[in-house]
Amino acid sequence: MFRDRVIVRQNDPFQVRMAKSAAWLYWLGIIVMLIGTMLPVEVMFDRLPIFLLAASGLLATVALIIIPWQRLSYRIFYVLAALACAHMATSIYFSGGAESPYGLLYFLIAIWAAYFFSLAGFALVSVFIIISSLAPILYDEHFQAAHLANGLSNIFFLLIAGGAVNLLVAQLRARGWELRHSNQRLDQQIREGRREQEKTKAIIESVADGVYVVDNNRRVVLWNRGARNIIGYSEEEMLGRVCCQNPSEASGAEQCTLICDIAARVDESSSGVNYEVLSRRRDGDKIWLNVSAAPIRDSDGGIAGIVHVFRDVSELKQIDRMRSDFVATVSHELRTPLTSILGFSKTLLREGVSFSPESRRSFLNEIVREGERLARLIEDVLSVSRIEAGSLQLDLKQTDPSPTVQQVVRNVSRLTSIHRFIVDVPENLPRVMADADRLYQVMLNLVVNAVKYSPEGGQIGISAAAEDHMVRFLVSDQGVGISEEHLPHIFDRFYRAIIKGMASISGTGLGLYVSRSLVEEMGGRIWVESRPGEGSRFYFELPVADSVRAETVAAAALANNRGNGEH
Amino acid sequence: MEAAAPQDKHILVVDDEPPLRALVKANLEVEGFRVSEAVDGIEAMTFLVSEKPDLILLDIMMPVKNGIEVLEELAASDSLRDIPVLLLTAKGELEDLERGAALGARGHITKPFDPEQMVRTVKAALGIVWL
Repeated sequence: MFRDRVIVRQNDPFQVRMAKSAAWLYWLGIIVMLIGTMLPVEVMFDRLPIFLLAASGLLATVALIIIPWQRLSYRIFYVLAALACAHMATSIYFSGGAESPYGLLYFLIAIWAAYFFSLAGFALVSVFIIISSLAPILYDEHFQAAHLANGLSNIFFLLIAGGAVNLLVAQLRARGWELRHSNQRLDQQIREGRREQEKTKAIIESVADGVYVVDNNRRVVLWNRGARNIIGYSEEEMLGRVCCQNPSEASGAEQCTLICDIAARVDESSSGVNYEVLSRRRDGDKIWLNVSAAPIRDSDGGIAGIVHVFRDVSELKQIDRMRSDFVATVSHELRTPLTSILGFSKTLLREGVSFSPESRRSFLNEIVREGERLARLIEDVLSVSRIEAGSLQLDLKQTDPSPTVQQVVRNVSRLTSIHRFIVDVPENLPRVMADADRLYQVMLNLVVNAVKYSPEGGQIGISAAAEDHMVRFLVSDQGVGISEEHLPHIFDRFYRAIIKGMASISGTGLGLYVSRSLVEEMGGRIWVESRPGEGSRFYFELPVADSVRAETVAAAALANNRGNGEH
Repeated sequence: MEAAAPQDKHILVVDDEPPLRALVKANLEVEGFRVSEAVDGIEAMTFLVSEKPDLILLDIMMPVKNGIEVLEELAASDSLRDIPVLLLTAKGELEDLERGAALGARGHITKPFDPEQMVRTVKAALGIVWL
């Protein structure tokens, strides 16, 4: 109940001040009374103790009046305590002052016990006081009833005074408790705040994006793990470094960090900006960053700093560039055969000039050849978009590869007169699990490539052989070959090997990518052996169809490829 | 309106696409021109060391030495500067056309082109017909 009151008081500074001063007055009154009772009569002026007594009584009374405790019971208690003190003081005074200091001694003991042992201590001390003050009276040989009454009244008032002191002490303890409690609360709040701070830091650290904060002096004050992973500089290296608006501002180059280009120019009115910037990693590599920058507002609404969140978009940029390159290439590749088809058709339709039958035939051949090129290109582009979208439909069934191979050779041999085609496909070749149209597409791409990349002519070998549970196909040429640097990439999307000394090899960079995707979708694999100047040997394998096992192999490979394609 | 016989006129076609060279060649030869071919800028410059054609049909987009580079070399050469050049371009390559015009190209033919139109443009550039 004290705690409640104390807490209520603490809410009102005026009341607290009042209570404090009242308590001090009360204690001052008590002390004055004690001093009065201590003084021996002989050395004092007759009237002085009375004055002291009156003054202390007045002080105690004033204190009691201005103590704004609302509960009457406490007032009564304090009035009783004050009366007890007054009585004690007067009785001690009139009984000879310092000659009878026991009351005072007991009083001090009572206070001490109350302060350190609370109510239980006070009760013990009181028992001791009662026994020790009654015993001499009871065992006095000059026992008088008046002495006993006097002793009892002394004890009675002493107990009341002790109780009052105990009450005050209890209140003091309650205050102390309250103080300790609020300290604890404060500690807890600080601990919680620290925990909260650590949690926030942990969250910022865990963000995969780079997060960095500069203060108003463009000094780096936060640099998270993501930023380190992206840029390469550690937190220790970055913290405190100043990011100049532009490098020329820097007095020394080392004062300006390399990540300055990320820093936004966020002004007072801005709510944040998003931009892409070409930056440099610690190891010197250039990277594209997408940065979101926003001002950090303090409680007054001013800017306390700028927080930047950035991520590496180099790969996206590269894909974007490859895509736009691809669009440019494809449109060029589409236009080139179209120019020939339209041009030769219109040439044939020209009036006033006549071409020989051989010429006319060669024009028609050109039209057919370029038309087929166009069809092939469109097929590849469509395949790529289906592969990319994951919507490539394969009609897998038992397929005899021989007719497909023959058809490819027949169609390609019409395109060239300088190449010799040598086909080696055995009669008893097992059937493969494949989509015949797709097999044709792969074969056609490889054979057309063989023609394209052997501009001097020569032999083009096409063979197939059963091997374990697979059928292995081989398309070889005697052309320019592929250098080591290009070999790992030639099956990549949009990749085109640039071959020195070869002027006119057209292409979109799709053929081999489509071939690889198709072969893998059909449960096979594709690879190449080549050396510059020695021609190329493109191999691919498809699973044999005439066994259940082959089908499960194909299905497993298919599932595997699908799975790979999904991430 | 034919002012001179094209028989004695010699034309160099520079393009990396064989069908396109064949197309230009067939249409010009049937008119009586003498036509030579080059697959890229390097081959064209090699050809120009020994021969001096009356007109060059020059593709811009070529992998080894492109048309603009050839034009720059022609403009820098005293003996070759006077050979009229017609650019073969795809639609939309406006920057290249401006650059070509600045380097002294006489005109351009946009792919895909109408063969008759192409022949007329060539004749006009040679001063054989006035359009």
